[in-house]
Amino acid sequence: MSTLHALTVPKWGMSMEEGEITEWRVSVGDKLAVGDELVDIETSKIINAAESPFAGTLVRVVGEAGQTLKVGSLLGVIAQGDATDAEINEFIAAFVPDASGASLAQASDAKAPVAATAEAAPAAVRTPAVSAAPAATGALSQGPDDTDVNASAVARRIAKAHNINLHNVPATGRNGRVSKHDVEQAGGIRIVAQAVASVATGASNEPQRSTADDSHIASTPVARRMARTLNINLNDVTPTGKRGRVSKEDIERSAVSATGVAFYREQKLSGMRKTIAARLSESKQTIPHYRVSVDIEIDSLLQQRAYMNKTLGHKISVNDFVIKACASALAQVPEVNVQYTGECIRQFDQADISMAVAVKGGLITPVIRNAGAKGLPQIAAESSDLARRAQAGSLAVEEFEGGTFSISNLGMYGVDQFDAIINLPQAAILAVAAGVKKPIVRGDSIAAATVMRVSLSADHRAIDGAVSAQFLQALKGFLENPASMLL
Amino acid sequence: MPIKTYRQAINEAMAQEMRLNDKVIIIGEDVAGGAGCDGERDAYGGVMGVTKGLFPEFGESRVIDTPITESAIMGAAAGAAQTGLRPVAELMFMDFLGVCFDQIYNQAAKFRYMFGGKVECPMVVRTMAGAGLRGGAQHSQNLTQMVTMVPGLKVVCPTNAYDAKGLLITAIRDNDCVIFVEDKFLYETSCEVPDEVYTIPFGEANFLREGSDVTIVGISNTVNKAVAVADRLAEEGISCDVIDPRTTSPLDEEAIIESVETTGRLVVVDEMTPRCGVAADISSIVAEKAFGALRAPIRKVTAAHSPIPFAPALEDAWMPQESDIEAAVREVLGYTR
Repeated sequence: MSTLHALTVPKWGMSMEEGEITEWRVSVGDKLAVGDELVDIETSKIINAAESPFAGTLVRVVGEAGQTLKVGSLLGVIAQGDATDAEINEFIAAFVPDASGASLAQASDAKAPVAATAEAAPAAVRTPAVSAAPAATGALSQGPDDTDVNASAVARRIAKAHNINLHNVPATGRNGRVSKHDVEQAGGIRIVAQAVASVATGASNEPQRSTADDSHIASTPVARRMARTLNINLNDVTPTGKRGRVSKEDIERSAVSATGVAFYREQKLSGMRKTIAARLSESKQTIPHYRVSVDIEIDSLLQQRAYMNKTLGHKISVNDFVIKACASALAQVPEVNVQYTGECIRQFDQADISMAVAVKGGLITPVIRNAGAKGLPQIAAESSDLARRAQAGSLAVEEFEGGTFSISNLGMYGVDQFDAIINLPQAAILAVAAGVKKPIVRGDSIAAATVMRVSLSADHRAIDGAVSAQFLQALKGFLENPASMLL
Repeated sequence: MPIKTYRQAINEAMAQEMRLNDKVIIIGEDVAGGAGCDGERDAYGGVMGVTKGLFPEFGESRVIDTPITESAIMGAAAGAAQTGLRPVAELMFMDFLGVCFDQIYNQAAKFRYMFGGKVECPMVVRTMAGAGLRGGAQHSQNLTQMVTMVPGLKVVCPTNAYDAKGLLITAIRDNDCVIFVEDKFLYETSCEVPDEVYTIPFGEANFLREGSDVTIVGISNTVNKAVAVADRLAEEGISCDVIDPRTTSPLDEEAIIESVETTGRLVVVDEMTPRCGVAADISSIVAEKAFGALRAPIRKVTAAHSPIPFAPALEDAWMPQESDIEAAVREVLGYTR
């Protein structure tokens, strides 16, 4: 007699509807254990290995590599015991997909352990031993079956965890019962509660403490007294009381941080967060990044932008200029408009610029296609539309996939400079900082200019340093002389 | 093993003890069932049908139907017990304790002590308690705390059919006055109950679930709610010791304290008043005897300090519910100093 189990396409994240089978890691006839990695499945966001929820033998592969299947579709069949071809065929014919995709666990998505659920079997008791005593060996563990010994529930639990036979424990508890204390005495152990429960734990960090005089800080008398007792300096306390006074509650909150117990909440990883984590880790770990930066003076650009927007009525941002200039610079130095595939270097004829947009819970990179062939007003219209719809979560897959070069702009936050991680499979990303008025040396004199620092992160496997430098030179030229982009 | 209801288990315990010992008698209002109405005697077997079948089998000398005189029932039972009978007296609703309390706490509870051990009082007072059946303020109370506080009384709170039978047989065989508090919400619940006669000792707590994060102690039906909560929390990885003390007097303090020593956290649930209730009592015992083990303040989950409302929605709000227990468990787990 055999039991057949269906392996189905799992659902990783709310938005997953289908997945493409990239590679089977096992073949028909292989013996499988629960948790073995079976097959790599790629979604629009992630590639992950699906694990076997069953033990048995893989008897049939239904989904082939390269195929795209809906969530819940049949991937293959696992048998426990011998199954005939006819039985397997019948099983496959009778299979009804379940779109929740519950039968296959994601490799990284193990369920939390479930403690005692059945009344008959109060299983999985974790013994909260703080003084972790070694399991009793020798005399204490020897003896006949001790299930009939009169012992309290806790005493029995501890004895079991420490391999102590209750026959060897003198009973002094209630009505001749073996107590917790008796087991502790016999075993030379002491069981106490964990300081912090297994859930809702706290992390610690050493708080900074002031020593300055705090007599001028407004505070309620009780709060001041408490602060003195608890050795808390009022300079370290955020006042939230009436009229900006430090209240008793503020001291209590501060005391919590002084004891080193900080609160935290755990947030489940969203599909987007998982994708960001996987993609950027891979990029940072596998791509030999290097960075080249340059200061760009944008006064002329700002002047022309002001004319375009105020007089001509456009709505063009500095970032739109950067997109356009990158496309122009990529046309001039096409060696940067590439991807490294392992076997070859792919050089693109047109510049599809991915722009990083921060959205709730992550970021996404919608693409301005062939930006070099588009005028600034069109780029401006597209970029604001894409950014708006990215925030609303209504981008279509083809609007954020692809792209040959990325721009990440944190200028709106006033940052001086930063470096970005390359957006795989691309080979370069430009990090754009804020345009800030600065003194610069021009000739032998100092002048004021609006300076914007950009930093190019490049994949050294495909782009050498001199090429990056040429690109930045070209980019600087276009941004400092925007009219040259007309050429 | 056969499945029996709480009601059947109690009935079986009485019938079996009456067959084994002809000193065992039943006395109470309507215990013959149907008296005073047009139907046959035993038509109902008492207001909840718990004594059904006893009158036809044992006759009116051993199943004594009384007028509505709780004081006389308890007085007669206490006197009969001193003469060597083993009465099982029924106090129809625990709410009526007030009208017969002198016979119980001043007489039955004190005979053995006052007469230097020359007299015993082997009687059982069966009574039903508990809200949730829309009985109003005078027919819904659980007054277990009022009898638990009396030295000389033993108090039993069975929470399932198996315990009900074993504990009632122990109660009938005990030589002191035992108050046997049946939670009326449980009469229809059932579980495996052996046909044989068996006893469950007093003062031995029952661990319904075992865990390491929080100790939950529940009295009467509240412990069943605690089990449901513990099972739900187990899915999140939170594990609880769920303790049914079975008897509030004697109380298995040791079992509760031992558990708190390993979890550091205590939630106590009862369906009584928040002040001077059994939950308050257990809280004080643990605070006194296991203070060093506590990692969070003890949390009581009790009924509100008010008469029991008749309006169903208000009665539900008055009672401790599963959600209240769950919130309390999360509160003690989330506590940080």
